[in-house]
Amino acid sequence: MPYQLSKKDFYAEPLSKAKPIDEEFVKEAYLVFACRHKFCRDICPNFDITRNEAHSSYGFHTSILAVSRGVGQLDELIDNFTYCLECGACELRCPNTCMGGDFYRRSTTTVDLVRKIRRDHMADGGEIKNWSAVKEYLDEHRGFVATQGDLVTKWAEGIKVAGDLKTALFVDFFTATQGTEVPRLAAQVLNKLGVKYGIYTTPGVTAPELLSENDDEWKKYAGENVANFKKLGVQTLVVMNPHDYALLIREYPKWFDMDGIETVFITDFILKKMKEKGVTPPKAIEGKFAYHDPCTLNTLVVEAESPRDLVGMVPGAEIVDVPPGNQWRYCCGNGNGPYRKLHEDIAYRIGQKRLRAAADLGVDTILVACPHCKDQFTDVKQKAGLPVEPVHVIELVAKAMGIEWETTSPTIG
Amino acid sequence: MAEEIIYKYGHIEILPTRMQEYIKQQEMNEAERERIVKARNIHLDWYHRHFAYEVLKPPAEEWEPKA
Repeated sequence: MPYQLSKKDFYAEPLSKAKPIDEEFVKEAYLVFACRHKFCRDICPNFDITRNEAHSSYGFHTSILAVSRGVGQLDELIDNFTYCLECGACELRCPNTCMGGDFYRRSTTTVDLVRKIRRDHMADGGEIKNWSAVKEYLDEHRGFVATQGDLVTKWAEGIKVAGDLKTALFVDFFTATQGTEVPRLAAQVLNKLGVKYGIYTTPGVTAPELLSENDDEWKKYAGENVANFKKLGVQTLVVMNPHDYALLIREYPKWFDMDGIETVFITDFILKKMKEKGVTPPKAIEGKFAYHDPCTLNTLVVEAESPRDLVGMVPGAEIVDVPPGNQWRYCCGNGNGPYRKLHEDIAYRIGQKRLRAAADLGVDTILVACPHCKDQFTDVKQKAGLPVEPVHVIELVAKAMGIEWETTSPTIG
Repeated sequence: MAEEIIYKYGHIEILPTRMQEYIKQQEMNEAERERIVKARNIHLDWYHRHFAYEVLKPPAEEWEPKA
């Protein structure tokens, strides 16, 4: 996947009560304010629940314009900026991007805007309601750094890891602590395919939440990663968590030279190796499945094919869900940042709506390609009592490859 | 209407000289432009599936921009 670069220099200038907003930034806000289509509103999974226009891309840009014209204060408006899932759907649906972004070389960048406003507000002494929960999560990850080598390789106990770091598995702290079945099963699938790989042991704190709090700290960890990739001779970086994948494809190239490093998402990598080696999963898994496209792959990177194609390789397995374009309006509710920690109740309602859509398809399992989606859906399923089990695509493929493990999915199990 | 455009990599682009005064271009590479084009096609496919019986193409001589 080629690295996608989309950067506005005026985002680098911190906002402050002590000085007026940069005129370039005001023009940016006006470009969205002047649009009356409001497609950003209708595609937003958060707006779908709250029905509050101030929570849309239109609302965020209008808030900035209001502050610049002295008819609003960021202290009063900052709460609006917490209602963004950072899924990027509004960016794609915005006519400024969708119908003219490639022609004018200028597009709407709401995710970057929201992250900037949050961190600038806090750096300027402001507060964000419920941010302590986000800080606690980030502090936990900061605490992992001292022993990260053991933490991000612990999942591999008993699995033969025989290769060097030319092909390196990138396992972040969340996956290493709360989604270990993904790297564990992926590694076993790669072993069955005869692929040699190593494990990258120093990912640092690169959670997207950090970009909403302190981008200098995020850049410190990301910069160390790039230097280490080059020092260790990493040629192919295989990423387990699509949140990290989206950051590597979209954020790293803004600040670092990624030449010579190919970043691949795990499902793309397994699919490519299966095709190269002419391998088809031998065990049939007869069943129909819902499939939830993660926003990171579907809207932020727009590469949603490989998890679906991988399921298509499994004999008997069939996805009966709507295509990726129809899923721009879906979200599991977790979001690609601190959303679920800030708005637990709305996150639950967004997830419930998505899971109910899956249940309406008459399936008992919803496949996902993101450990955060699985975590959120597991929570929603329990709370809502919906009869749809979230299962990672890698779990399905592992089962079809003859790797034995326990699953709670009625169809797969 | 801008009569002069740049045509490369199969896409048309405004002359950068027309984006110097008020609205300025952002830093953007070809991969990002490809992402936008791909997303647009996904969106238009969705739109046609839902709201069109037939998709009309422009006359053949206007279909492909001149290089």
